[in-house]
Amino acid sequence: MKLFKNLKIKEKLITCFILFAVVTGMVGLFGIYSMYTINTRAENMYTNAMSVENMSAEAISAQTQTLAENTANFNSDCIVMVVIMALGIAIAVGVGLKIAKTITQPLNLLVGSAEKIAGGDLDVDIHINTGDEIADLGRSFQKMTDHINDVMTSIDSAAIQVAAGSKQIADSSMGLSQGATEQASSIEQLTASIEEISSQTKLNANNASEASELAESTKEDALQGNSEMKLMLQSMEEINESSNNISKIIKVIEEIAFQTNILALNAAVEAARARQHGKGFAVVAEEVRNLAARSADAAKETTAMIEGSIKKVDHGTQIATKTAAALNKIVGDVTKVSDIVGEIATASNEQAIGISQINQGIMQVSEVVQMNTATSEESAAASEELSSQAELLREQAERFNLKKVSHYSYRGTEESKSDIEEILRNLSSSNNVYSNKRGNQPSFETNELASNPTHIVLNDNEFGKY
Amino acid sequence: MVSITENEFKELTGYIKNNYGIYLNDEKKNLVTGRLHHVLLENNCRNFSEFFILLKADKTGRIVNTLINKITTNYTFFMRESDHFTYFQDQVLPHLENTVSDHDLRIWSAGCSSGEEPYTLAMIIDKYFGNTKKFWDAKVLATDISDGILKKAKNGHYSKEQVSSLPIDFRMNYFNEIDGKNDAIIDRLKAEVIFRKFNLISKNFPFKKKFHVIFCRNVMIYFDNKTKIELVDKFYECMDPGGVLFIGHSESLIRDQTKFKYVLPAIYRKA
Repeated sequence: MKLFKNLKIKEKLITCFILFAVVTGMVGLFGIYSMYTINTRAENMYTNAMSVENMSAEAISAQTQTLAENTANFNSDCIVMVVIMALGIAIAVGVGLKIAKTITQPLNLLVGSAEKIAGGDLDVDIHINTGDEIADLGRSFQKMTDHINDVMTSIDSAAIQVAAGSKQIADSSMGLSQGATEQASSIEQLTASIEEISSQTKLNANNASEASELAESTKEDALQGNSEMKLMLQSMEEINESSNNISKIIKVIEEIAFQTNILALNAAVEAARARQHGKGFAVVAEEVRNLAARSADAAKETTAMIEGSIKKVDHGTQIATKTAAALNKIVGDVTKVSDIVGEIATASNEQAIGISQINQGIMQVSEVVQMNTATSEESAAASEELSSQAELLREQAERFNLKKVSHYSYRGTEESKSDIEEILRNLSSSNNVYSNKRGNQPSFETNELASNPTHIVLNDNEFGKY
Repeated sequence: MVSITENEFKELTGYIKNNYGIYLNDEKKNLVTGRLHHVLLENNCRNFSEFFILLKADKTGRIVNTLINKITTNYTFFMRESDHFTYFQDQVLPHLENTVSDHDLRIWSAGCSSGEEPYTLAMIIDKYFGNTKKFWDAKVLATDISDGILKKAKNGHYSKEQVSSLPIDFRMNYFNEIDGKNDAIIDRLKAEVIFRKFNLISKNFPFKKKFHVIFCRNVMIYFDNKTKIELVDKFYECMDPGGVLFIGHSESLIRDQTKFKYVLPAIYRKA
């Protein structure tokens, strides 16, 4: 039985038909044998009958004839039977072979198709032109492959789209990441410049304050100069007055000298009159006259000097008045300067405050940009990962050889598919470049590792309960 | 802006990749120069070669820490990819509650960034166990390679805008108001998270016991495929059977390259 189980369908069928033929043959042989025994018995009966004595000749001849007919019939039947048997066996084997063929041929076709599907080739066509269960099986098989083909086609195109889409996302998030990084560095530069401006503005404000203070003190100095100038004018007026007084006194002295001179002349006249006795007195009078002349000269000189002095004081007064006016103007201007510088200082301080606010704002922008950098970097890395997985999915789907025209597809998908395939080809070629890059990396890395003895692991030494 | 030459870029990114796993391809040149510009200025380096020499000569780790702080991308927010937290609360925690007999839950947030993820996990755990929480040791391990961001995470200060994505009861129970714009994580919850600096590229993981749950979301997107596979293998080794690994939704483990079994999108289980 076990042996029978392991036989192929064709062999099983042939075995069955051969068994059937053998059984038929055996039945036939048994029939022949039975007929032969009947014949033998008839012969024995005939022999026995011949041994009966008082038997008519007619009966004997009838008996003999019957026997002869019997034997002849037996022989001819035997031949017919053998021929029918041989024919039966031949037909049985022939029909067996034919049936076996009609069963195994479509089965073999199905086996072949199944093998192809197993190998990932879904591009199979199964046509069985019979009406039996095998044909049903074939139809179901066709339906099944068509369905799988359809599903796989969808998966394939979806995989291609996902691969292309995720690649695009990866690229754009990479771009985003780069942009954010550039933004971050620009902002850092901006922050640096603004800090510089800020310190400059602070310096300006300080300088302006200092200048304002200086202008203030200058103003005070000028005011003081002005008041002192007024005092000086007063002093000069006083000098003028004293000079006038001196001038008057000198006039008095001049008069005294004149009168002294007249008195001395009178005395000289009196001394000449007295002659001998007035000799000494005449000398004295001469001396007094001399003194009076010298006094008059000195008084004249002093008068000239005092007049010069008065003129100079007048001149000085004029200059001092002008200086006072100039000083007054200086005071006015310095007040203006002080005001302006004060305004500059205030503006600079306000500027400094504004700049520090700008700085704060930029700090916030910087924080956001830092966050954006991290976000875009993370999404770039994640989408790259996703892209490689989509690629993997695509490779898996590519293992199936799909039928181009499925029962469920229409021209539209065909066209879009070819587009996608082109995208895919580009994609995979760029991917190869990428993988080559990666492939080249290890040699460099190993060199790097060998030439780099400093290695800081950056691990903590203990992990609490862990 | 200091520009970087092809060789300098290769040298620097090779160093970063070999030691810290972060893979920077040619398209990241802008990122590298943009982020490191100031570091160069601060260290008085005129170009990247000088910086690289300084980096290799520095034994204190100061420069490399600065480099890592600058080069890592710390992007996260509360309830990010919230499906994971739902699954963690509805499926993982009940399972752990029934199966962990020593009441020691070991949950690791690998690449915790500014702390939103481990704090959220701690909140979910605290809410789930409620009054029975005191019978459980459910401190979450949170690691990151950047000490700058860890400092921020430990600080636990978040703007109200950041906190707003959390459910109202979480906001009420686990935050104190600092001012009109900022909230702080309460100390009790802070104590439920152990923040440590850890480099996922480390050859050997130094952990004493196996983990029940590992969250490592949107971290491996910065690694190349080889580093990623190695890391996933190490995760597998340091996990209890039945342990759950959460990765980012844009990531996935390739079936025939890992021993982890797929559960749901971006959720895997150790068999």
